[in-house]
Amino acid sequence: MKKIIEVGVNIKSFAGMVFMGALIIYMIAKSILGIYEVSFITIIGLAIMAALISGVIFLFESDVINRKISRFHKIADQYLAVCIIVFATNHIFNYFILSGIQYLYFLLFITACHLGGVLAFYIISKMELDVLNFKLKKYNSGL
Amino acid sequence: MIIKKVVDPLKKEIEITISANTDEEIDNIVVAITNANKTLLCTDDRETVPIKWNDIFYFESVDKKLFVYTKDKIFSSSKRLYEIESEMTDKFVRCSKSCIINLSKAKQFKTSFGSRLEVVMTNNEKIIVNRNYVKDIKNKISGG
Repeated sequence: MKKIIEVGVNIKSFAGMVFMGALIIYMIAKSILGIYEVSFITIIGLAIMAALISGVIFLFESDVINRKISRFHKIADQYLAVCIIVFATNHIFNYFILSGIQYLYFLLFITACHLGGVLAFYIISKMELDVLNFKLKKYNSGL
Repeated sequence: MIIKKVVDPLKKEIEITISANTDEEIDNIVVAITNANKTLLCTDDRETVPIKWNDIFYFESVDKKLFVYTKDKIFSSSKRLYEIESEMTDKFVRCSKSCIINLSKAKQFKTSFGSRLEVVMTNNEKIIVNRNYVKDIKNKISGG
């Protein structure tokens, strides 16, 4: 039970970072395309997507999937998994009506979310590594 | 920490007195002192030499042969890795199926491919920590 709560808290804080990262990347990408507004629906969509991507990234990075693959392969697999899940569920439930340019925006939306996730994961692992190095220094100075 | 050094030519044996607030602190110092002189018999070509555990950077098992790495030398030992694991001091930790490292000789941790960790030793040698052993290392340096 404690482990489940621990994992839940980790995913929740991670999803928050993914959401922030995704929002920034999405806004930058859209502004490059000449659109400067972000709707409330998009923000809700980003939050749901952040939760979904956090789950997928967590599955790949934790010991749940014990595969020996390179970092690039892992990111590509995650991206593919997210695309398949989103497009497949969209095909079944039709929560987004996609046609023409909207397909491109939707793909951009997923890519932004995924890049946000990768960025968030990079920041978290860097922070964890710094903490570990600090603990190592403390451990060795206490000899 | 206050250290008093007394050189007395009349003393026949080394005498150590430790004063501290807690038993735990004293025990840690006692372990560190007793481990400082603990040695392991290793083979260097055809000569058998005692190597201090504190001078050992890491152990590596290759094809059922155990190699002992110090700062700039490599020795071999007739022992198996599991025997070393049962004898090793608390500064040593297993980092893969075939390797045991001395954490007191570790300089830095770096990330490596596949959620693995890389340990940079003080002699700049790099050792990969298998993902299964990362938790043990984290627990050890956190004092768990």
